[in-house]
Amino acid sequence: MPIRILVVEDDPMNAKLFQLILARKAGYQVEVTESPALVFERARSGAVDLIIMDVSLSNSEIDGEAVDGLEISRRLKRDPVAGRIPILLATAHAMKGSRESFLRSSGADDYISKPIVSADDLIARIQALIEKRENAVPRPPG
Amino acid sequence: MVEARSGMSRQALARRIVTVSVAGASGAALLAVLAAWLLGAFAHAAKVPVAIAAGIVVLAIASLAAWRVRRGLAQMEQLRGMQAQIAIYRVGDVLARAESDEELVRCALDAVASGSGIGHWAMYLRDPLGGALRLFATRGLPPDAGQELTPDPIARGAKSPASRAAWQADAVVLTADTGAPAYEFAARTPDLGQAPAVVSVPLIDAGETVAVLQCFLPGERRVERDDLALIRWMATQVSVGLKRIRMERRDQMLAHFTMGTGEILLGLDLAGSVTYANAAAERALGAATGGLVGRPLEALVVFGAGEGPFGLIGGTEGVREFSGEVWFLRGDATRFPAEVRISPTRDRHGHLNALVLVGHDVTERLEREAELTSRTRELGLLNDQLHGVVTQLEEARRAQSEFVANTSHELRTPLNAVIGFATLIEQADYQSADEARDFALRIRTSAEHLLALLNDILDLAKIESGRFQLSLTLGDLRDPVREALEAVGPLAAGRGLRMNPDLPDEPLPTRIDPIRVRQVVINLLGNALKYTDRGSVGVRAWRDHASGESRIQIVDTGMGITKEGQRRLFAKFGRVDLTLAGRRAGTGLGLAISKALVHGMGGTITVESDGVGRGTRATVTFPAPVAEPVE
Repeated sequence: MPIRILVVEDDPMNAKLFQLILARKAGYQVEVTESPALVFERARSGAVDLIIMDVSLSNSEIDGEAVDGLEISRRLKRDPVAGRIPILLATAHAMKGSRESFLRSSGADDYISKPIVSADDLIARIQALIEKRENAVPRPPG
Repeated sequence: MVEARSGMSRQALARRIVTVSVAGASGAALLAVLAAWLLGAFAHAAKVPVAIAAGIVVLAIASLAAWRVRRGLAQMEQLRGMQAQIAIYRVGDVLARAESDEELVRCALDAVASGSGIGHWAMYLRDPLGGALRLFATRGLPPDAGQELTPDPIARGAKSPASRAAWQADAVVLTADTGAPAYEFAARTPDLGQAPAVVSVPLIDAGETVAVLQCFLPGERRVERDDLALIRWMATQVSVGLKRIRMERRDQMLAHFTMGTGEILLGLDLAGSVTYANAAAERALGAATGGLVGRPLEALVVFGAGEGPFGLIGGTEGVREFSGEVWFLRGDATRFPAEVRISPTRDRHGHLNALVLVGHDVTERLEREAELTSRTRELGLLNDQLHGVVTQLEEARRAQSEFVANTSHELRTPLNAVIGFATLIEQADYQSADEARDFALRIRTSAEHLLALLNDILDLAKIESGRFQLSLTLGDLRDPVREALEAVGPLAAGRGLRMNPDLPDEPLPTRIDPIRVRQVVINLLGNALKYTDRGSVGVRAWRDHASGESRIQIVDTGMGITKEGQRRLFAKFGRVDLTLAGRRAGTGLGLAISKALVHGMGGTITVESDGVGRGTRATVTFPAPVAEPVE
């Protein structure tokens, strides 16, 4: 079964780009959304292996409150089921200190800044996160 | 120590009694010779034996002599009583006049000696507040007697008679038989001899021994009850005298205090009238010396309704002391604030008998406090201003760094598309020539967006730094509006929207930079068209006759803006809604630039919406043109 990636991205051009790169270069199954509700639904139903999360989300709301990628990540990580899915923050916010503060405040697993100059690097990070998670989960006996 | 001089002694009195007795006996002898002669005649006539007659005569003489002696003794007593009375009179007199303890004690010892016929005395005074007893003066004693008389501490079992009397607070009479000390000096003192009796009487004031009066009697002399009574009485007189001297001294000191102090001191009777006022009170209240006495306190102090001095101390029974601030009223009707204490004073039975007011002018203190308060307030205001400036600076700094961070973000987002799609083409990750062209178009679109962004950022930076020069001229406001309408015409047509221009026939002379006004109107029209799917976009320009201001208003029938959206509208990169694809073309800086430009021309810009789905109304207002001087 191909690895299933959920991309949370508000910029249509960048969403399209993620889809193309991840599907064609790594053979992942990619879904793009900016709806928090859909993110939780997919994450809780176990229909996703990794989430790529943008930080600035202009149109995302939960219960009428505007939320960004950091807030969605926090909520995901608090969920007993969805909390186990690795989150890779991908953002154009790339000032000094952004990486540390974003990872700390969101609970996300890794961070990559835009522009993404190397698709191979992006795929390598995704692969590493997925392997790490698989190793962390105790395999059933036998 | 005072050595009192000798007065009349008991020996002198005895001599006098002897003289009187001898005189009596001589008289009796004369009478006996006469009687013998009479007896002879009588015996001869009456035929009585001479022996019997002689016996009768002897009896008569004896009884006569006995009568004379009794009379002499009575006379002696009377004399002593008279002397005591004289002494008493003198004690009362001198003790009332004595100016010092020394004088008082010396006079008292003189008086008591002449009054009692006892010549040897010592006086001990006790230091105040239950202190030690010390020998203060002697009379009729050798100068070195003090060495033996120095008293030991007042305590149970004290050795010295004076200390014992002070401890017992009662007279102590000691004879050689009952343990009187064998004073060495006594043996050397005439009329005293070895083993004199010692009588020590304490002087008691308010239950406390303040002094001890002591006398020494020759060993053979019995201590009579009268002696003791007299000494006790003397002791009482001396103690009264000592107390008077001390009180006078204290009064004198108090008078100096009250006259010397800067505190206002007033004594009040139960009617609330002044009975005493010190110099400070008279000065403070602007009264002549003695001018305050008899005046009611209500005339000197401003009291609240129904308050009065007794109100302040809790009624005419004076249950408490009052401490606080009152306003004093001077003779010239001016006032001053004072901090006062009004205390009730009581007699021995606890009945209120006067009021005492102590206070001082606190004008200066209040002025200092007021000054301090106003200084503090000024300082507070300055501090607030400073705080405001600091806040503004911090706000500006924060806005600056936020702008830099946002700019970075805005540039990186299209760059991501440029690099990403270029990589896909480069690595031939496209499935058809059409897809490759689509990738190339996306790169181009993103690059163009980057260019627009760069221009806007530079524009904004120039305007905000003040390096952007506006060319303000008095022009017709309709011109830039018409040009803007022309510029967006194709866009409106492309979106199938109607443009409804409403421009006046008369020119609208306004002080503007026409190129920048056109830029602002294009921006506003662009937004209106972008967020309107159906209906029309109206453009109106007019002069408000009340204010003389020129206005442009752009009204669309589009999606409107939420209240929250209206708040963020003019913020840099504050795009409100990016939901719909294709509307992202804006840089998010258009309104910020428009606002900065309009402000630069002295105008204002507002964007309002009645809510989502109810359209948007943007209004630009330019001030009324000021008539320019003719050149």
